[in-house]
Amino acid sequence: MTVFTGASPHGQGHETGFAQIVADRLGVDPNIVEVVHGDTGTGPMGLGTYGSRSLAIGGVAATHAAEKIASKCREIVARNLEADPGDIELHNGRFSLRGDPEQGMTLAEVAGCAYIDATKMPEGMELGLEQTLIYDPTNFVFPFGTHVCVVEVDAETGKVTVVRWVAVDDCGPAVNPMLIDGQVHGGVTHGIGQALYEQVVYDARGQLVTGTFMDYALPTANEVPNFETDRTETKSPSNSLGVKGIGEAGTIAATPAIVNAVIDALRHEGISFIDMPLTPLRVWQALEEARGRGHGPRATEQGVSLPPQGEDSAGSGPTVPEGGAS
Amino acid sequence: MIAAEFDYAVAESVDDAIRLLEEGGADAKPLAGGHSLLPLMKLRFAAPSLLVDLRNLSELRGVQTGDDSFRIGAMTRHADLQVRDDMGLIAAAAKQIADQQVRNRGTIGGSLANGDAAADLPAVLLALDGSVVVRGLNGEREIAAADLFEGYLTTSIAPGEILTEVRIPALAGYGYGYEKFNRRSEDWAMVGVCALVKSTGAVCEDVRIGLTHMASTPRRASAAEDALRGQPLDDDHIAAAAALAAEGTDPPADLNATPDYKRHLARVLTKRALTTAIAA
Repeated sequence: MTVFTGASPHGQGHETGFAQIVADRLGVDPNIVEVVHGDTGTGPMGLGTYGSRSLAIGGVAATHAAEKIASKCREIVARNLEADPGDIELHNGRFSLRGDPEQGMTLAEVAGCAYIDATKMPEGMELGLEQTLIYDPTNFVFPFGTHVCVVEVDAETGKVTVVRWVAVDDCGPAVNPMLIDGQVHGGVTHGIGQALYEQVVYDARGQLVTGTFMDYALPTANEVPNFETDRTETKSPSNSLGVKGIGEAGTIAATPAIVNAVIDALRHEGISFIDMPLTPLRVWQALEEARGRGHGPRATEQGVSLPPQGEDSAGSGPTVPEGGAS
Repeated sequence: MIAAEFDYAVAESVDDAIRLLEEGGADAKPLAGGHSLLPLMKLRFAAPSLLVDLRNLSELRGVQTGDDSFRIGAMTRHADLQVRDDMGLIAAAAKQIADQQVRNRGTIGGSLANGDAAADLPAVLLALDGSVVVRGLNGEREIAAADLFEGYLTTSIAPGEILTEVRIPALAGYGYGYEKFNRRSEDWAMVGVCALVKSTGAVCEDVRIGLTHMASTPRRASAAEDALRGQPLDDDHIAAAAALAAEGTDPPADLNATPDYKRHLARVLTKRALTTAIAA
């Protein structure tokens, strides 16, 4: 069984999740379902994966397509059992007669009729078990959740360490809990990166100085805590699966959670704002300024006012002229 | 991210390597673990005409333990040192070099010969008052750590010479501490401080402090050492010595730090490294 999708993933697990959904509706083992993506030559029209929409749109499209095929299967089985299609149900992986499950056909047997033996098909029915379906939702889905983090700020060096993370998200009925956790872990790590590490920096001469992953500080496993995740499951009214996206939940929640935690830790010093990323340098500069020393983080914007080697950049002035850009 | 074209030869002995380097001329470079040189080549900051690979020189890998010293083969990997807790400070520093993948390939000889002031081992060698042995067409010579690091990525090892051995004293009776400050655990040190302390009773008999990335070469925090030597090892004296840790340094500004911030970090980390060394 093959599912073609235009919601091309780059590691989110569509191959697993879409296979589960389709297999459920056709009574087969998910392992026999191959999900093909990333080839506009073979797949249907699709806009890719973005906006936490793959399951809620691509997944729902696959669901509806599978349901249409299942409905066709029931008609074929009904024809062969001389029964009413309404009395055919999926039972233990077979399309069986309600009340007499010994009578029934497997999907493979149904496919045998649909592709090889037209005489066993209902009169006038198109051969084959294929369905292409384009799905346009009537409304967006609205996942929600709460993330709480604990950080430690080294008051001497300004370094921030994330020590605990608790996340409860609601993306509707869980198709695959492990994939959901993986999405949350990756999203939170992305958010931690934005809050504490990642930055594209050009020097005063316009040279990119964060051109490799040695300089553009993507967080690694060492920089993130063990995530404690849980979920509630509230169905979305927007689609038949009731599912909502989870891909960006962590990304959106993590960044403000960390920044708010750091500011909470520093509020007694009189600090209420620091630009992201909250690098050790910036946090230290904010602490120094709050203690009446130095010019604060903006006076030495990283990279922007890099002085020649050995020259002290303190006092080089704000990168944004006072009084604004008038 | 693709290196310029170069020739490649595998040396089968140290003499073979010396001969290959001689034949290769001024732009020939020895290749040890390759975890400094190869990234530089991929960024085209370095473009050697010939790499002489030392990977097969098994005689250069391993540690010989003497009565009061260690002789470390130049091709000994960081991963070999990070498990040698009996070697004290150098093992503590090796544990914190980059990540395990780098430690599995990077070598002590390569790191020291590269002479990067941001690398972990140069300041450690300096604090230990160790030395390196180099060999070239004119024979073998020993260079004290204090004479090894001459400038930014520049050492007193002559072209055509190969670093073969690292010698460090065991320094029995010394406690040690190593404080490396960076944004991510795999990054270069923004500032690193290693401290060695020998005490008699509660008095400091000897102290050595090495500074990473506080100048274009590794440095000793001599003013801090002088302030603590012979003094009681209490909080006040440690703090007073640590306050002098950045004296005489010339820290370069970089993406993550201003010179002021680096001086501040050197003082904070010196206090912490000394405290760890004394508690040990």
